[in-house]
Amino acid sequence: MRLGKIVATLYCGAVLSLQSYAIFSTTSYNNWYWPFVNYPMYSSSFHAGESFLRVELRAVPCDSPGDVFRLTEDDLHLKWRHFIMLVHKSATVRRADLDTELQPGSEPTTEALLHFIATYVPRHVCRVQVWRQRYTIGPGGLELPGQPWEIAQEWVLTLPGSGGVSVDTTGHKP
Amino acid sequence: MSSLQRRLVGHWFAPAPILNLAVVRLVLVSMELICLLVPFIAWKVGACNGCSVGYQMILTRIDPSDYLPLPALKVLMLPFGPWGIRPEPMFLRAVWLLAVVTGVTSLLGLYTRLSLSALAATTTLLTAHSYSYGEYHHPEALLTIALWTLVLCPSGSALSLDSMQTRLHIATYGKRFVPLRTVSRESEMAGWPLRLIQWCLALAYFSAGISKLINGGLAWFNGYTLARMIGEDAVERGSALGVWFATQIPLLIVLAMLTVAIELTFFLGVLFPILTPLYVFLGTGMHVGIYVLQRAPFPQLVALYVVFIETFRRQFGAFFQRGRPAPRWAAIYDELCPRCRRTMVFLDSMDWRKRLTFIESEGQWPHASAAAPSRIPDRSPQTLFVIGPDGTIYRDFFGFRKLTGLLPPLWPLWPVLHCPGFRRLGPWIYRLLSDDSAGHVCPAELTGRRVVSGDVPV
Repeated sequence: MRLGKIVATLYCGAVLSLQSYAIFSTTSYNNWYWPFVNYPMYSSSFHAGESFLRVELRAVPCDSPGDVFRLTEDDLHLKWRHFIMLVHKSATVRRADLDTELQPGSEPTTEALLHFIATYVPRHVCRVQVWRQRYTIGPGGLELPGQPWEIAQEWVLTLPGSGGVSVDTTGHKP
Repeated sequence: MSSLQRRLVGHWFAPAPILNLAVVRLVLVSMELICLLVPFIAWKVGACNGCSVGYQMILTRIDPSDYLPLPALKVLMLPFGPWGIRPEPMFLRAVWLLAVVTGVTSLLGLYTRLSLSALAATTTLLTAHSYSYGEYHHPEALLTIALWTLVLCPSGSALSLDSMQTRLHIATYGKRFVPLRTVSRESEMAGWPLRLIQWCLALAYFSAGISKLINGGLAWFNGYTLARMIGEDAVERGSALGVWFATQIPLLIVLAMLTVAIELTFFLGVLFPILTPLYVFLGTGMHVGIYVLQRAPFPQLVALYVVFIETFRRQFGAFFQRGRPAPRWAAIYDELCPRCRRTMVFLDSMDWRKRLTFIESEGQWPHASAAAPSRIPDRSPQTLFVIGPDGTIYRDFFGFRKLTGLLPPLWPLWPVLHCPGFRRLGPWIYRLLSDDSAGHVCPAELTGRRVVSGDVPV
C-alpha cells in the first residue's frame, strides 16, 4: 500500500504540474502537449458596431443549373478548419477590397479548393461560388442582416474530354 | 506528521468506496464507447472527431506537409516506426477496432487494468492524430487524462467480471460465499483518482476564466462579446435560440459574469463538499447552455462530473434510501455445495436493489426455517429455496422464476418464464440444466456434508 501511495503521489504531482504548466505558461492557445492543454477559447472581447461574415460554398451542377447545392467540409473530405480557411481566404480577399482580382497567394488556395471539389463531389459541377452575408452587432445585440446573401467569389469550371477539371475563369464578378 | 501533511493525506488518501471508482469507470468508458461507436455524436456533433474512423480516413488523405504530429502521438507511434512516423489508414482502422474491443472489455471489467491501458492508449493515439494537422479542440483532453488515471487504480475491483471471477474462485476453492454487503468495500487507493480528476476539472475551468479576464478584460462582460460569439456560432450552426439570445444584451451581461464566476471559483466545489452539488449543477447548466446556444459540445466534461459521486452519495444517499424501504426476500442455499455457492455469487452480483438475504442451510438452519412461517418442506442438499417477505416458499425453478422479478439483470427473463406452459416445462429445463453440470454436483462425501436425517422439517 505504501508503494502504491508513493506511485499515486508521483502520478498526481506529474499530472497537476503538466496541467498547470499548460495553463499558466501562456494565455494564448497552448495545445502542443495535448492532453495537457489550456482553455482560452472564447476569451477575446468584442464591441458594438463590429460585424462578422457568414460564408457558404455552393456549387452549380452542369446538368441542372437551378439546382444549386451547398458544399460542406464533409463533402470535400476536409477538416473543418482546413475547409473554413480555404473558403474564407477567397471571401476575405473580396471583403477587404471588393476587387475582382485575386491577391497574390490566394491562387494556390483556389486550386486546392477546386481540386477537392473535383475529387470528391460526385456531380459534374460547372460553377463554384462563395456566398457571404454580413451580420452586425448593433446596440441591441445581433442584428439580422439587412442585405441578402451575395456572391463573394465565383469560378467557372470547364470539363475537358479527359475528365479532368480546369478553371476557366477566376475572380468572376457577380 | 504535521497538521498540513495530515490534511493533505486525508484529502487524497482517505478510505473511499471502491464502488465509486467502478461507477466512474463505467460512466467514462461508456462515454468513450459512445464517441467511438456513434459517428453522429463523434463527428457531426463534434464531441470527439478523432473517435470517428471516417474522420481518421479523411486525415490520412491530407497533404503530408500539413502533418504536425503532437508529442503524444510520436511517443505512441514509436513502437511502430521512426520518431514522427505518420500512421497508415489500415493501422488507424486496427487501432479504432482495438479501442472498441478494449472499451467493451473495460466496461465489463474483464482484465480491467489491461483493457483500460489499451483503451487509454488507443483513444489517445486516435485523438492525438486528429490534432496533428494544426486544428485543436478541447473536449477530449480531460477524459483522456481520466482514462489513464483509472489504469493506475483499482477501478476493476467492483462491478466487474474480474471481481466476480475472484469471488467465484473464493466460492469454489475457499469453500465459502461472502455476500457483498458484509465485506468492507473501501480502500485508501480508491479516493485519489477522483480527487485528481476533480482538480484537473477545477484547473481547466480556472484556465478558461482567467483567460477571459486577461485576454478580454472588462470588455468581456459588456454583453456584446457574448452577442458576437453566440450570434456567430448560432447563425453558422443553426441555433434559433442562440440567435435570439444574441439580441438580449442585459441577459448576456449577467450570463458573462455568471460564466466567469463559475469558472474561477469551481475549485471551491472540490474543497468544500457542501458546495459541490451547486457547482455540478451550474457547470452542467453552463455546458448544456453552450451546446443549445452555440452547438459547441462538451459532453465529456459533464460525464466527468461523476467523480463527485461520493459527495452526492453522502448528501443525498440517505434521502433516496429513506424513500423506499423494500421488503426483503431470502435465498436459502446449500453452503457445502460449490455450485450452489457460485450460484449465490451470481445472484448477489445481480442484486443491485439489495432485496436478497442469503442464508446457508447447513449452519443457519434455525434462521432459515424461521424465515418461512409456513415451514420449509425439506432440507434437500443442492436445493434453492426463495422465501418471500410473506413467508411463501418457492423452490428450484419457481424460486429462480421469482428472482427474475427481483434482480434487474434477470428482468428480461421474467416474461419468458411466465409464458403459458412454463409451469410444467420450467422445472424440467431447470433439472436438465442442473444435471448438465453433473460434473459439479457435490455429493455429500466430497463436500464433507454431515448427513442429517430425522430432523428435516416437513
